[in-house]
Amino acid sequence: MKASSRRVALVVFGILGAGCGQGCGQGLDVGSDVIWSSRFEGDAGLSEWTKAWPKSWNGVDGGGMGGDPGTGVAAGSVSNKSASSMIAVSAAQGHTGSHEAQLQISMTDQQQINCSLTRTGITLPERAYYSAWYYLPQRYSVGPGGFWLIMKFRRRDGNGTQHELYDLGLKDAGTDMTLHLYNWDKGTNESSLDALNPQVPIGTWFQLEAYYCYAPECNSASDPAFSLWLDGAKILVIPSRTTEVTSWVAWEISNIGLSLTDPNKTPPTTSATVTLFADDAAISLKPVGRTGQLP
Amino acid sequence: MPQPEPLRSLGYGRFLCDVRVVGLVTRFALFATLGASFDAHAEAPGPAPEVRELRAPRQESTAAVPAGASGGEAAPQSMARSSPFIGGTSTCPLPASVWTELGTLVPTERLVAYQATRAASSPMESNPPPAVEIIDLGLKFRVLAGGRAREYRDDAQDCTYRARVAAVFVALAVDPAAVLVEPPPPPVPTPAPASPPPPVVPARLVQVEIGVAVDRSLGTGPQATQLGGGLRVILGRGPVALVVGAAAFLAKDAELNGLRVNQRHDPLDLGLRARWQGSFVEPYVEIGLGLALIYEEALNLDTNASGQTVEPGGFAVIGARLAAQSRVGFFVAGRVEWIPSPVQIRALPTGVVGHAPAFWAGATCGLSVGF
Repeated sequence: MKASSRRVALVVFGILGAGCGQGCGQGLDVGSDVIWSSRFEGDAGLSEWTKAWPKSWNGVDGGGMGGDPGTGVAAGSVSNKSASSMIAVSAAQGHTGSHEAQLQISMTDQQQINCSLTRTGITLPERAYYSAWYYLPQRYSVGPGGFWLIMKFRRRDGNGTQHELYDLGLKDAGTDMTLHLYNWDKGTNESSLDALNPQVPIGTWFQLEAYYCYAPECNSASDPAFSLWLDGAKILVIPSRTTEVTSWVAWEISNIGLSLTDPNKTPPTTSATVTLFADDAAISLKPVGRTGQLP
Repeated sequence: MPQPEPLRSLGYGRFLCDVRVVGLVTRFALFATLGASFDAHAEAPGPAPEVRELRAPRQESTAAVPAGASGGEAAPQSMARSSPFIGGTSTCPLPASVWTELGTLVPTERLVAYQATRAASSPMESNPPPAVEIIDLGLKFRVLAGGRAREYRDDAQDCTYRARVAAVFVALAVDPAAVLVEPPPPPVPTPAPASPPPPVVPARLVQVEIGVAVDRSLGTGPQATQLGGGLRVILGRGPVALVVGAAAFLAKDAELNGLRVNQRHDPLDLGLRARWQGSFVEPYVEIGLGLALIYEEALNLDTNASGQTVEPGGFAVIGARLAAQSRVGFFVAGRVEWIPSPVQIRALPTGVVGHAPAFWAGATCGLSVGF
């Protein structure tokens, strides 16, 4: 090969190499089916949520309930606090990134304490997956008549009246906490869990993901109205509903408790401070799963 | 086969290599005919020259055949002595010398038969005149034979030469068919001629190929067939040349694990071409490295985006240029490309949906122009 040809080869390879240096081997991000997400990172804080709702039983709250999108916590807020509850961006139990949400309620005698991050609005799609990661630092005992809810779905009927729809809670099973779902549509606890008394881990992040469809055709096992996964395993399917739903959906990451005690104290006291952490919340057109990635 | 020594002795040896005796004799006959016409007009104006047959004095004939008298030629002296075939008073050439030369051209039995025929045609003559008469005219000499007469000029008065010329004339006059003609040598088996080397046409320094192309992705990536165009530049004159190629294609929709994408793949090649120049077809192969610009755009996500990057890989080409000797020709080629590490295609929330194709195969055809 002549010197001129070698020079041409060097030039061409130089150009190729320069082009390769700009992006050789990098993956191509071609879009997203994630409609909305909140990772509690950076400056976003809690502003990605429609509401951050510390509300005590005595009605001192940090924001209304059932309002329109945009009300509630101002953008950039990192905490909302009342006398008995608090929501804050924390760095105590990082899941992905360095921050997560800390939802904390301080139990008092026979008082229901609510603390929720709510995402609502009329723009949510007919069919979507609602995913969040949870971390329970310890086990709590649920006393007689009490409850501990960590995820809620609310609906509105055709008149615009708001109703509760699905409450996903935890029960004390002695040494573990198990999931249960109260179906307001039927007025009963769901007993059709595919896995009886699915346990959630203590001290380890776990993922809960729900599929919610408000389309009229979502009324069969093959096209259900509601499904639930724990750490990627489907544990519940609700094929249909009897009550009216609309496109209005409120999805909450909650820490709502009544009669919760700390089993580590002797004797157990109702003045326990109940804390859970949540991270990487998302609403997506496709399942997020344990390996899903968020923007 | 021995060389025709008699004719060589006539002084035409230098022609024998490439001129047959027949051709030589024919040339002589033509020369003789023209000469006769000229002589006849020059020496016998008026009516056409009379063809005379002169009688050779028998005693001279006998006396005119001394051994070695005409250069020591091995003449059939007994026949010359016993035959009144050549007569005349010429001393240069001597009739015997002409007879000797004639014996190398015409078989003796032919001459005898000819003489017998003449004798039979003149039964009244007990001694038929000689069939040939040679007359020495000083700077010229005349030959009479078969009813024809010729005069030849020979200023040098070379008697041997005159004898040869006269013998040829006589041979053609009395029995042209019997002239000793050496049969053509049998065809010498010559080795099969090697196929002529192909005409060496200097390869052009720069060769540009432009054409239409089709490309198909293979493997586990998004499957699509795309159409486009390609350009290749071949640099070098030798059998191995540097090749730089590029192609651009129209984006085409494809699917990857439920994700619909609009995909485009534009390769850029740098390699070597080995070619074999033929008279009409110039086959070639190429191998080299390249970079491919890969473009992917999602079509069915809530938020569609696009991205492109460059993938390094290798390629191989096999093709042929038609009308190889022409400056402008056609080419057709097939190309395969291997991307060892195809780029990942990611979409949220799934993450890695898959990867771009690792293999591509295509074809190109078009015009090839040399400069």
